[in-house]
Amino acid sequence: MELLNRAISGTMESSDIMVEIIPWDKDLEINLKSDVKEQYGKQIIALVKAILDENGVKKACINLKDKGALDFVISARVKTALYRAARRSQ
Amino acid sequence: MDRYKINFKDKGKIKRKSKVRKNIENLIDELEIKDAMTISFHHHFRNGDLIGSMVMDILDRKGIKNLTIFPSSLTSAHDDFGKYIKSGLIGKICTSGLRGKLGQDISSGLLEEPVVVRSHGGRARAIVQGDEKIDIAFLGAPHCDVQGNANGFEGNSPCGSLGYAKVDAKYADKVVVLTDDLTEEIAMPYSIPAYDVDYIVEVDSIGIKEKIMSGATRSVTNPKELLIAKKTAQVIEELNIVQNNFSFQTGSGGSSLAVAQFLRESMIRKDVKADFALGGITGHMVNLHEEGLVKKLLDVQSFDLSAVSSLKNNKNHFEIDASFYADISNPGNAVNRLDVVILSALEIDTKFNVNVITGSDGVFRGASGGHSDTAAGSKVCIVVAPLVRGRIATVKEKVLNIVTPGSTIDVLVTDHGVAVNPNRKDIIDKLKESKVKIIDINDLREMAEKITGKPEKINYTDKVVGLIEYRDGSIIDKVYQVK
Repeated sequence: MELLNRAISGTMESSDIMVEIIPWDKDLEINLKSDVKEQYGKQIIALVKAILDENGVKKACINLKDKGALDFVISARVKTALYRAARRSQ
Repeated sequence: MDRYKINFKDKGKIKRKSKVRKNIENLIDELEIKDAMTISFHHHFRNGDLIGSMVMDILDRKGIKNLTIFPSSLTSAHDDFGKYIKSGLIGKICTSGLRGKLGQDISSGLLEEPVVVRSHGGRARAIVQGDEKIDIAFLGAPHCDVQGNANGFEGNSPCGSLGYAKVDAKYADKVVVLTDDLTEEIAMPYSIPAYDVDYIVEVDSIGIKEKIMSGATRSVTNPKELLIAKKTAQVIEELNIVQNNFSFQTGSGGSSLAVAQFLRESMIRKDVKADFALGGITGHMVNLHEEGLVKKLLDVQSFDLSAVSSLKNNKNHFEIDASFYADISNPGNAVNRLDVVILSALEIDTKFNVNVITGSDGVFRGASGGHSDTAAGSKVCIVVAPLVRGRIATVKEKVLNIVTPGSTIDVLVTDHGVAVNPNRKDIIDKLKESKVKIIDINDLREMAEKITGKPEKINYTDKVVGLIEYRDGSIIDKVYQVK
């Protein structure tokens, strides 16, 4: 998937996550801010990496502001942000 | 020798000595505060408290070191107290609650000496039985006369009941009242009597009005909380607790607050009246009282302005002190008469132990409050909590810290089901014949973990940063420094 522009998805509501994707030429960088970073930080980053891998994204800056979202929410938000960044609807 | 000796000396008019001092600075010199003394505050001004910082600032400037501070609790108003730890002013802290920035500071090991966490009843017991000696109590009072009679329901920044402060006033060596409403007119009725007060200082402001009443009380609209409250009311009804002259306490969490609303319906339907409602008094309880459904309110802490004005105006709204409320050594304590209490929890484990002091990251973010006191005293103690909060499971195999032992918790109501402590066969038997479905607490735990996933273990060091004292003075748990 080719990223064309910066994109965001999600909200800062409790149990949600705000995902920002910035296309760039450098290696992948994932910044996570989370209320549950101590307990679930590694799992969240692993999940996001897996989704990026699946979509062939290798160069991007991903900023995550997590408010305790469950895995399926994180997955949906990251995919939405990716599609928006790639200007694709499916 | 005449048995009846006549003495006519020293019979003059009394020379009045004023207790009023111009400012705290001079008073602190007069009090000759020394290093390592114990000073106390109350937390009736909650997040709006200005007294704590006001006094600590001056003590810090005077270069005092190693004080024990012994507030009834600490709130966000004391977020920056870490600076007094760094300066050496604070050597030890005893409190009920610890949260925010200060909670993080303590959890990361800023204070050498472990914080002692006590319940409201436990703190009163420690004072009454002499475990803790308060050298000087600095007590903010919304209304005070020139002799020291003080109350909390009049003045510019009312807070209602001064229930926690009353114990300090009675037992502290020296008592200083700080007020922003000093009157010549006698302050009656009083919460703190003049004979307990040594000094009075008028200050610009004792608290930020809007923040005094913020925090604990809110109206409940969250459907999850309402669902839990409804289930709880159903459990209470099936256990046949709602009878004439029953008594109850609800905590300050959302579900717990909303239970009052459902109790009302149940009381009207059954045509019964409660004898009393206890504890932190909220507008919800005041409404029940003014409707005639609850005969008396016993108020150790008023949670909103409606409670404040009720305390002022309703003759059956009584202010009680923390020892009367929940002190295990007080033979008349009110929690021992409670039929039912509804409490919140940050975490509860499969042995029904409850944590209300540390968050899921092991950091201080709560308060012991009256939790363990009411759980032990009441006939039925119901803990209400959502199964998960965000990604955090509430029901766990083992809580990080125990404040209230599972042996005193009877029922857990979550949005995913009701669990009963196996040691309450009587409750299990009653509910089995009812519409309430009981679920094993281990199943609730499994359900929770399925939703959230397995969390990583918290990394602790072996340094103890907190001791959780049970209401009888024994240590029930230790809190460790978080890496």
